[in-house]
Amino acid sequence: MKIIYPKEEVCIGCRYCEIYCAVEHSKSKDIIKAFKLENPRPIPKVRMVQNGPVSFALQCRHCEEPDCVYACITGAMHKDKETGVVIHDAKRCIGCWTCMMVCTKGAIERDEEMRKIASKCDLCIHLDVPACVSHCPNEALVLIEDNQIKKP
Amino acid sequence: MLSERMFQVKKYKYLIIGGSVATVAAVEGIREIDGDGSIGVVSYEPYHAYSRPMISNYLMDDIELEDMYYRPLKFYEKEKVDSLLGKTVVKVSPDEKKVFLDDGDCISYERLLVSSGGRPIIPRINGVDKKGVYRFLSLDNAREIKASLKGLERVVIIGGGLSGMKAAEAIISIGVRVSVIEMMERVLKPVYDETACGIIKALFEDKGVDVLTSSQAEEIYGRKDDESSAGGVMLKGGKKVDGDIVIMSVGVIPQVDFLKDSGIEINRGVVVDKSMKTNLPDIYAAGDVAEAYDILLGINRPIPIWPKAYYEGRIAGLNMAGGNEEFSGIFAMNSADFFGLPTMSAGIVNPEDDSWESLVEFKPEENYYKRIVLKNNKIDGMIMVGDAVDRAGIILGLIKDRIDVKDFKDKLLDKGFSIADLPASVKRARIRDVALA
Ligand SMILES: Cc1cc2nc3c(=O)[nH]c(=O)nc-3n(C[C@H](O)[C@H](O)[C@H](O)COP(=O)(O)OP(=O)(O)OC[C@H]3O[C@@H](n4cnc5c(N)ncnc54)[C@H](O)[C@@H]3O)c2cc1C
Repeated sequence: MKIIYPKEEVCIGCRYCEIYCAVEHSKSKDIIKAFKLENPRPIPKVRMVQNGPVSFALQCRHCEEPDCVYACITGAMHKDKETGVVIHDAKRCIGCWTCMMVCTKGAIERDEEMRKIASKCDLCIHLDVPACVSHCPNEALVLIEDNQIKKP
Repeated sequence: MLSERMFQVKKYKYLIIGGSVATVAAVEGIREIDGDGSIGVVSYEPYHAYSRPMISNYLMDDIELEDMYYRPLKFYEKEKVDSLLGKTVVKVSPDEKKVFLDDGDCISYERLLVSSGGRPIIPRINGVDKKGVYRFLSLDNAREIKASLKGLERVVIIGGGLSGMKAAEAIISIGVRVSVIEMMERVLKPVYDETACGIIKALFEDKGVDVLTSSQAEEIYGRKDDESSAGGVMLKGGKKVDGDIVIMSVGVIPQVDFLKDSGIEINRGVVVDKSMKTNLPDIYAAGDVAEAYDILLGINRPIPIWPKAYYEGRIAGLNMAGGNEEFSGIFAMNSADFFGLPTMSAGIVNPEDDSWESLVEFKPEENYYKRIVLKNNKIDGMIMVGDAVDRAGIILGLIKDRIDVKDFKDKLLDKGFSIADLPASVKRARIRDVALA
């Protein structure tokens, strides 16, 4: 499967990833309309995280052993067998936040704008390249096959 | 005749007792390794696996059974599983490798998983057999309660634990008055500390729920016009709490009755090793029925929570199919939303003495509360209420992986605390990768 890999050495903390993620997940997919007119306002599913001068973009890691999927009490979370993407089915979510409690990366948020449901990266599965990756001005996000990375 | 009957004995490579999360997890685990081996599932609940925690949503909202299915209705069919629903296993016979059902049938197995979950604790209270006394553990329970609620004025709930409080939330939300009777000095005491319990209690009282703590239910008395139907609960000391129905929610214990003469080792729950094997060959156990290793307390004990049931069920399934997986253990963890207020806790939340330290941030006006319980720079527990729940899993991960937090302790309470603040090795593990190969 593909995963998005953050390179903190080159991340400049500009938050373009957040903006373009929100736009991609908005109704209009238009940057002006999405932020000015849409209600609920789209929220980004990627976040720039920072510690002093170091920053990088963090989104769902689509874990091999996804705790959120295992812990979800309704069945709203599942890992797609073919693509490996951890998918959140908003219709089945009751906002119990169990997924957020067990995500050791802190990559799941509460979407209170829309409905009280969990919000997470869907890897822009409908695009060739996820919006955060294609809009990162410094190539601090790259899309790679997960066999290109060493396991911890 | 006998031989003819014997030919009809069903036989499965994998037989699973139970029809809930641990069962589904085991099926998924088995199918990761063995795509074809025959699987049979026997469950006395006549429903496709559903989300048990959602029975409070069922009570409160206009939702149907279909909205509660834990996996799509076609799940068993797709995974080539024979599901025998509405059937109860009354006996397990490990010598013959057979289980016996209430309808007289028996089923042979090569490998057996016991994932029979929990059964309600029946408190020693007079009058529990009266009409209008319900439990709150299953969809059937919720259906009975829902059907009886129409036209009722007042409900009494015995037990202020998580499911009792979820029932109270549901019932007050549909406009029926509720009293909760709790024996301990506060509701949810095992799950939260005094401050968090205080916030939650105030919230319930604000919504109109009567919360009676330090109150022991002694008797369910009858109605004036009908002694055989519940009319309320008499407390120790003589106080009467009237109610048209009574819901008993005093907890669950492992459902092990049918294992009595099987030779399977049972302590408080079924005793399992790290691979989810019981003491007998080819018999595994997982979920609420089984004890788990509590990595914080260092003991084996039942921990009746959904995530544990999944983790264990999956590992049991993988191992039944020839895998070699171990469950590293777990600790108590709960996340519950009350009237839109998110609350969470994990691990040790009421430390016994001051060998633990606590980092606390409490903003009463916002219902914001975060407490992190530590000893020797390792986090043993966490409590979050309100917006403090955001990214709580990072803290939970530090508990689970026993990470030394000395170098970033001062950041643990920060709103912006993220994995960027973790030591490099932990951070990299969280990002999932060490480096590009
Ligand atoms: C109201 C409520 C709210 C809850 N909320 C939460 C929550 O928010 N978060 C959380 O983590 N946990 C919650 N829990 C706990 C959670 O539901 C359980 O931990 C979980 O369901 C355990 O799953 P299990 O597969 O072990 O067994 P169970 O769900 O208990 O299911 C056991 C199954 O075994 C079958 N069975 C039992 N004995 C036999 C037999 N002899 N023959 C045939 N079949 C048998 C039954 O039909 C049943 O389907 C809640 C529980 C309740 C009641």
